Amino acid sequence: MLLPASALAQAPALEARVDAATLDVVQPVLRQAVVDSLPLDALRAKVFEGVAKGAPPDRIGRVVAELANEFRAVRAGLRTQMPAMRFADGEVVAATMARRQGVPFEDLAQVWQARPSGASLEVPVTVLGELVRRGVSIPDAAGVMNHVVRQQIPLDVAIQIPGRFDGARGAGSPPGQALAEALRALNIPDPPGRGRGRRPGG
Amino acid sequence: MLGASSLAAGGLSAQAPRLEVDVNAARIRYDTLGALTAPSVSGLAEWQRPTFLGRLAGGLTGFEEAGWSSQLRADLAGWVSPTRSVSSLRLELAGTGAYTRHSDGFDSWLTKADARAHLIGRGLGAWGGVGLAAARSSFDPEALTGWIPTAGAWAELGSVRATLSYLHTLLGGEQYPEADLVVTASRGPLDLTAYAGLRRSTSESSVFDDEWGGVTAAIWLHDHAAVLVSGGRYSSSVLQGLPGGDFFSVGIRLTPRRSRPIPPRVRAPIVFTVERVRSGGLTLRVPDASRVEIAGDWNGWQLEPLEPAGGGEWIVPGSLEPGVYQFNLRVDGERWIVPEGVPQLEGSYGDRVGLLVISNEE
Repeated sequence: MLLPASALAQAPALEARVDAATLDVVQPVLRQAVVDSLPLDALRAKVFEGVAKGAPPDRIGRVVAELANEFRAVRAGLRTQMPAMRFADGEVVAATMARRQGVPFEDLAQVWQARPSGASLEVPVTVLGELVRRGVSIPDAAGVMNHVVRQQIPLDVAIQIPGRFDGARGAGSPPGQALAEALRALNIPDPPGRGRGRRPGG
Repeated sequence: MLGASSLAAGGLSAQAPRLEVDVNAARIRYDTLGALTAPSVSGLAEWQRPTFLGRLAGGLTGFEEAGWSSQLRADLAGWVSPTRSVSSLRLELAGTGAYTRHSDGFDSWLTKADARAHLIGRGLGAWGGVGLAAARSSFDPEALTGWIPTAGAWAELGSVRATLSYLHTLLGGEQYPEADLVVTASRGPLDLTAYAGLRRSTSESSVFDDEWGGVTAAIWLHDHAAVLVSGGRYSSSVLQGLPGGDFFSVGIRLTPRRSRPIPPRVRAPIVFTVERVRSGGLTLRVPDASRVEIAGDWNGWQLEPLEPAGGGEWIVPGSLEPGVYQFNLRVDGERWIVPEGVPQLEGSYGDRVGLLVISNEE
């Protein structure tokens, strides 16, 4: 089973690595992120990345604030669709990546609705975004990932779908056919209404 | 020059809509005029999906003591793969409309329809087809129509793409064979396009015999703005009767989001098991480096040295826990890179980051 990133387990304290000017800029953002239950690890990682790469404090502050706003908007959008649902940090991060690819909240909500109790959706939602990034239509990608979640396909198998898809695309298959070939290569059963010979979006 | 095929220009995958506004100042020496200073503003909107591409471009150019001209152009292309057995074959239909008007009353328009067949492989492609064009200008009240058989090939290696195309315009009993080469590269903050072309005609006047070439560079200051520098010679237009000219131009491009001429290839996350990482089995390829360090989400982006494994391979530390991570390598204490073969994402600090997945299960 794939686990969510445990970045903080090995991450140093912010104060130990970040200069005073950067701290002044990012701490208000991080404090508000705690209040808003945003993925703090991902925001802190973005601060550390900026420091490691020598970015100026105002740039780091801007990047972190933009990312926090993005998380806030995505969390709000998910809650609008699923008011009673709790979202893990990794799921919000994955949903943010998927939203950047244009995946609507309604399609994300369908993945959540397909979820067996307690399963993390970080990997399926990440894969959904990656498939859309590669040119798979949103309905096709969402339909396949709903199926993967509902069938409880192991996450280590699901994470390989984009790679298999790339292989089929590289061999010249159009997106719909490449997705079917990727599922076939991983022994993932066909989603309902999606026969092996059918090529939606292809 | 009418653009090469949409597929040859990289129209294979869906991309975010492209919106750009350019403001330029140019010095132009038209074949039919002396040198002019010409400020211009132009815009481009493009929407690309896996099976079609739509593009609308327009501009307004002022000429020093010589009025102004406006240009508008629309392109629409769609393609299908007709058979499953030969899925690298694409059939494309494309249409173009263009209109130019000068403040002195001169105007010209052009419409063109193309049908092309493409063979597309991994990093290589070729096409052949035929176009039918109609055009009219104020110089000639009669509309001109002509057939334009075309063929071409493209190759892409990393962040460089080269496209060679051949057009054989048949117009009014004359022939205008033309070859064009366009090389596009995108690396870091720089997008570079170099082009060259040659046209010879069977016409006695040789007025449209031409050679041209030039370079355009876009230097991205951040994701929303770039400085543009370009110079060279652009070609005359046989169909619209427009003159060629030499030019040098500087300007700025504004956009909601940078669109790379060669979209970065996004590969699957690399999945490694914890056992493999702990046994030193996770290596990354960085040839010609004397020191390589890794930093990523798992440890707060603290640099850790990698051990050389020989042959340009470097061993990732065995301390990674299961998770989905963004990371970079720093090479020789200077360059931040994503190593070969690793999926890349647009980074937040004007660079690219790699993606790594560590699983605790086979």
